[in-house]
Parts: sequence; C-alpha cells; structure tokens
Amino acid sequence: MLCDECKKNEAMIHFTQILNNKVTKFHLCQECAKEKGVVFPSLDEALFEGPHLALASLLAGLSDIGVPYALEKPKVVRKCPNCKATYDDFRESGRLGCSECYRTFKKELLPLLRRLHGSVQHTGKVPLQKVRVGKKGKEIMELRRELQKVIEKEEYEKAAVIRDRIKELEKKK
Amino acid sequence: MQLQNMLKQKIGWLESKGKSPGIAISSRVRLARNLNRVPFPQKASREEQEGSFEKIKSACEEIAYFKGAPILNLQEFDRVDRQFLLERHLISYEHSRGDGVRGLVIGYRELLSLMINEEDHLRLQGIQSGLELQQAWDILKQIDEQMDKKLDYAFSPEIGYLTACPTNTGTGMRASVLMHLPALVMNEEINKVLQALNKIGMVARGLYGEGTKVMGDLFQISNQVTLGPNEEGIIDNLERVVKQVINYEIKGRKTLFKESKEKVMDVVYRAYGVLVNARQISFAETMEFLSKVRLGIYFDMGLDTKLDILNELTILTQPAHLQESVGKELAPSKRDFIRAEMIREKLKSGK
Repeated sequence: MLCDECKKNEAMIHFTQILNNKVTKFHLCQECAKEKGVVFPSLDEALFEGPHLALASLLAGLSDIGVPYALEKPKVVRKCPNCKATYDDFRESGRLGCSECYRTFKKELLPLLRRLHGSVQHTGKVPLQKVRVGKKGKEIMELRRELQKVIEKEEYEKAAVIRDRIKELEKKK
Repeated sequence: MQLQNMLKQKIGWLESKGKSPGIAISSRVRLARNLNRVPFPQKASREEQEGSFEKIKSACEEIAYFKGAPILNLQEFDRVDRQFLLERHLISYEHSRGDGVRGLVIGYRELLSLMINEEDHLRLQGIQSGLELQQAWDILKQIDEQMDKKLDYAFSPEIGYLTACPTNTGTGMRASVLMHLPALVMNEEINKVLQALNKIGMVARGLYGEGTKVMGDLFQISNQVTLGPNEEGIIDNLERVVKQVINYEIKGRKTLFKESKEKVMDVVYRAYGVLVNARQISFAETMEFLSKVRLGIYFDMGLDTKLDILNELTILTQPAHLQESVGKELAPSKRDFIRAEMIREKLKSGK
C-alpha cells in the first residue's frame, strides 16, 4: 500500500480512528509522517503518560494533514472543574473561562505567559486581605519584590541568595 | 437617549493641565480585576453576569470614591448613548457593542470610572490631563484597595491578578498616554517610532483604543507587558518612553518650522480658516484640521483660540455627542451641518 500523502513510498504507519461511528483510516510512509510532525512516543513515554496521552499527541500531529485526514478532536479533553471550559475554548476565543482555568491549564499557560511577558513572576501589588495567599505566600511575594530591586541595582550575589530562599519556600508548599 | 445631562458636565481631564499638555493630551491607567472563581463575563450565564454585576455594584456603593456616582446598566441605554460613552473614553468599543449584563460607574468629573462585565469583571480607569501617569495611578491604587476590601479578587501569588486574557495577567495594568504627534506624521518619522515602540514592549493604538483608527495625528501609547515588572516599574518605563517621543516630536516641530515655515503657516491658517468658516464638516476632517490648529498654537501663530477649546471640540464634535446635544438621531449630512455650526460658535466665543 502506498502512502496517502506522497503516493510514492510504501505506507508503514496504519492508523484507524473510530469516532462517533465514523471510521477514518490513514496510511503514511515514515518520511511523510515525520514531516507532518507525527511524533511516536517511545514505549517508556507511552507507558508513563498512559495510552490516552500517547494517542492524543499522535492525533495532534496528524491533525495538520490535509482535508482527507481532517480529524475530529480527540475525545480526552480536560475541562476546568469550575467553569467547564476547555483549552480549545481558550484557543478559539482567546479568553479563559474563569480564574480556576489558570490552575487547570497551568502547563499550557505558563509558556504562553512567558512568551507574552518575558516573565512568569508577579512582583506587583498583592490583594490586601487574601487569606489564601497565606503567610508563606506573602513572604514569597516580598522576597520577589526584593529580588526585583536587587536585580535592578545589579546586585547579583544578593539576588542569588534571595532566589534560593524563594525556591526553598516554594518547595515547602 | 438619556445622557444629555452629561453634556453640561466638564470632563476633568480636558483642561490643558499637567506636564507637556500640548503634546501629551491625557494619561490613563486601567486595572483589570476579576472575582475569584466566578466565570468571566464572556463565559458566564446571564444569571452569573447579574450576580457579578450586583456584587460589584454594591461594593461601589460602599466606597467613598464612588459615593453618589452614577451606576449605569448599559442594557438600559440605546446605541447613541453607548456610543456617547465611548466617545468620552468611559467605555471601550467592545463594551459599547457587547451584549449581556454590563455596566459603568462614573466617578468624579469622569477622572475615574469602572466598567463592569467588560472582558473582565472589573476594569478600573483613572485619567488625568497631560503627562501625569503617576497621579492617575495614585488615585486608582486607592480605589483598587477600597474595592479589594469588599470583593474577593482572583489572584495567584505566582502570576498575580488573573484576567480573562493572558495578555493582562499579572498587574492587570495598562497605562497609556494620548499623544498628538503631527510633526512625526508630517516628516514621516512616525512609522520608525511606532516600530521602535513595538520592539521595547510598547504599542500605539488609535483614538478609541485597541483596533481603532488613528485620527487627527492622535496616538495612544501604552505598555504591553503586564507580568514581571511591578506597577511603578510599568509607569516609570512608559513615562520615560513617552518623554522620548515628546522630544522627537519637539525636534520634528522645530525642524519643520525652520525648514518650511511658510508651508507650515499656510497649512495651519488654512485649517483654522476652514474651521471658522465651514458650513458642513465631517468628524474626520474636523480632527485633521484641529490637529493643524493645535500645531499653530504651539508655534504661537496668534490664532484666536486655546488648547482647552480644541480639546473640548475633539470631544463635542463626535457623532454621538452632536446627537445628544440636539436630543435626536441625525443623518450624517445633518450632523456635518450642526458640527460646523458648533465649531464656529466655540471658536468665536473662546477668545
């Protein structure tokens, strides 16, 4: 069987998806699969992440392939427990559903925040009466502010000490 | 149309006060805040929107800064009214067009305002004349602290205030300065300046904020980064950049006057001539000519008007303002006629 994509090489990767009673089949050669960014998780990864995630990453790679392969989104979707928004909802609208989404999608959002702002450390104002920030949280906030100050003054040795103290406190959480 | 009364009130930030009022027209600082665990307005059901609205409304009623301040439920206002509020820079374009339960609280002399259920549950805004970011921030900070006592703000110790869009996360602060930059437009340096701004994490927007057109050589320059630096840092940085842009503009104006004095004078006097004589004039044209007259005042060309009046005209000649002033909806051609009349009167009486 020839590869669906290049129609030259022998297809090595055969994939059948059944979703809502719709059957979609793919046959790709290794090169095309690689070009489409289909990453095959190693066995270790597959075991570690569980079959669902391994499948999801495979599907995510395949979804870039042209029309005949247009895939429906994988069924395993994380939802914010508070507002039921998904990360795809965010991708479509550019708006998160609620404050809890930041916790739910932390893994996806942190790199995005870093790209947008060049930092993921708030050093500004803190709500006055936030019980949930806690004593330790407040100390961390103060240390971060201190850190910002010494960095501005280019006192890097002091900065390193403060940074380590922050890390220590964060670990204790 | 219910907002005619507001026409009688003087807008606090229109007086040409503060630092560099000829170039930096106004300074604005806004904070995005949300209620903890309550779905953001766009995601919220109608009931949830109403819940947030009521919570924020009662918080406003309890704090000193908003004592006696009108709290408008925007659903009760028609298109012209909402456009009117947009023209006064009290609400965003999005807020004027959106649907759902949403509101506006108008503080003293419009120097302070709060949008309820815009993209975020709360958008607090402080505005001052001239380059006075620190002053705008000082007032805003106090209100934020008062509101904080009444409301449970969404906040994370790591990434700060949590907002509907990650572009505002952290401080939730957007500081901006409305700048008049005709010389940089004329000598075509403006694109270079705008590109340079982008490179250092600043952005220039049109007259009514994000996604709106540039008119009358007016640019809003604001910070883009909200997470990392603290509030003072954001303000200091923007102020430093704005001062640089002011210097470029002044340099541009000097060169312009030195190298093509006759041409500049001609442009300014013609613009003034049109404004005091026209019988029909569009808003875009008005903005273009007001920009030139503003320049004429800077060069002390003996024009019979002053900055305060020009500032006032930029607000009053906007379409919804004209319609509120006559108390009815008007076709554009009719507006052009009334606009020309208003400009003539204002320029005559402003001696």
